[in-house]
Amino acid sequence: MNQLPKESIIKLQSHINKEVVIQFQGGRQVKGTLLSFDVQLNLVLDEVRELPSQRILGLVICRGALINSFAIDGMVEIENPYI
Amino acid sequence: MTTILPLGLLDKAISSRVWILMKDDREFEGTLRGFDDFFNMVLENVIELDNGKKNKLEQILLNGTQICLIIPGGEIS
Repeated sequence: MNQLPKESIIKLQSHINKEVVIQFQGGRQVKGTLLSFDVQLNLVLDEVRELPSQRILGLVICRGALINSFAIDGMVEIENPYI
Repeated sequence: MTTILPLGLLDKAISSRVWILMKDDREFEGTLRGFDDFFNMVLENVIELDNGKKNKLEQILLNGTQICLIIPGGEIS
């Protein structure tokens, strides 16, 4: 098997200082400004609010191991297209 | 370029209060004594919030696999 390059397939550098919405395993969702990240996808977020309660959390470290997804540029709720 | 990495920020938080949100609905607040690569943590003078019930624990080893969010200097609110 050919050796694949050991680079992450997720390029987060371009999203630094942008607002992201992170979804975690277990259902937690937070919105905050991405300050930094590491190779395991652990993140530092600033001005974090927990969704949907809008509870203010502030400066937060997020565990990459439990991240399900990222939304950049926010999310818009749409009608269910599968019904 | 002084961006701080996640583990660097956690290292700075050693000896201060941290507020930890787990994958489920539990929260812990305590003094961070140390942690490892897997985010297992040693906490002291801990308040555990579990379904609205508060428990006080003197010293715990918190399993990193369930830790979702860590707020340095934070308090259970």
